[in-house]
Amino acid sequence: MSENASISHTQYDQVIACLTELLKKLRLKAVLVVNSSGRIIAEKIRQKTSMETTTLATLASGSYAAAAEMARQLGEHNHFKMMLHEGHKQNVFISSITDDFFLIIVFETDVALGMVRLFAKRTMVQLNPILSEKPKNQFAELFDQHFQGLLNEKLDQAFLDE
Amino acid sequence: MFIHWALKEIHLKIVYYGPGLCGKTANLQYIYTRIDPALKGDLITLKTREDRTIFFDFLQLEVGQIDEKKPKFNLYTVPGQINYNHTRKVVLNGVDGLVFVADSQKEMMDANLDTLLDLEKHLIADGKSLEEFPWVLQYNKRDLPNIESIQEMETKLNFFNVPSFEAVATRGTGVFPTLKEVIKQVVAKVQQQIEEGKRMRA
Ligand SMILES: Nc1nc2c(ncn2[C@@H]2O[C@H](COP(=O)(O)OP(=O)(O)OP(=O)(O)O)[C@@H](O)[C@H]2O)c(=O)[nH]1
Ligand SMILES: [Mg+2]
Repeated sequence: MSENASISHTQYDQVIACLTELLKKLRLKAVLVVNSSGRIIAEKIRQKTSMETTTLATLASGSYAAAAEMARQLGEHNHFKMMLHEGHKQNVFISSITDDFFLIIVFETDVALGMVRLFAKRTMVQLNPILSEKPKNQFAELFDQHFQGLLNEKLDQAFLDE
Repeated sequence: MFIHWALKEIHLKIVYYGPGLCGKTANLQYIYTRIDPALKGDLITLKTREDRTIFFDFLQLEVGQIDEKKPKFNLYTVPGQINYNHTRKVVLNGVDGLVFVADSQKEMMDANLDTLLDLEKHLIADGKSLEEFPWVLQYNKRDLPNIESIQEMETKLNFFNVPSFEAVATRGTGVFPTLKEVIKQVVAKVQQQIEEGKRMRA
């Protein structure tokens, strides 16, 4: 993952619009855009999965990173394009959008995989230019002087019985 | 660091690193059991049948809102076993702060140092270095009989004078102080970068 990456308001709105459109076309359970470290950029959930999406995104990014490393070790220059985890009731489709972002789609097994791939491809073509843009950093407004103190208080509250 | 401006989230990644069986997973397990349930996600552990970490453990820790921003700490452990070198490299990707968990048992001193040097190698390959990077040391397993003195461990491992903590991770001793300090180091580093950025622009 590129150092100190960020996602702007505009990018977020555009990504959400793409995901909303995809959900209109296909009966999916959930669709997420995630960065290569597993952090969720945007998510649209139609039907709650039993898994928390944070967990899903972290595990997917792990599989993705492991597969990419495997490809590198094998001397594959263009690392793989998609991954599919097939289950009894649902499938998880993972596909790279850019080097830094990928798309995760959770759908029931009665939805045709071909359809999912076709619409996923369209969505990825839309998402690619949006996510290729590197927003100008506005880090100056990130933390101010008293942030550290407030954070410490919050941490003490978070840890039970310390 | 990853910033989601629309959701006002600031993600920081902290990795627990150290030799096999030193107690990295034990740190995360303790944190998981003692954090306010409203502020934590699932504890993900990817392990072998013998409970050795095969890929990573993961726990996301939130602290609510500060100045309308939501800091989220993503805690990871690496697998300590020697043959998982490439996996450690993958887990280290995008790291903002490190906890080096050292095993205090005398016979583990070589493994501690080798692992620390191996970590430095990974950081260097990524344009970082232990000398500059936010990290802390944890001397774990202080409850065991045949352990090295703290002074000796400081000499052997703490050549950059980073904050260090004694711990018994399985009982939770020293676990939160370690975590709080690494978070403090990470935030201080970000603040320093912001100040430098301001000066550059001025
Ligand atoms: N006595 C004692 N045992 C500990 C302590 N911390 C961890 N252990 C034990 O040491 C063993 C290994 O701990 P883990 O936390 O799984 O070690 P790890 O560093 O994650 O090991 P890998 O995943 O293989 O890298 C377990 O049996 C723990 O219960 C400690 O402070 N004192
Ligand atoms: Mg472990």
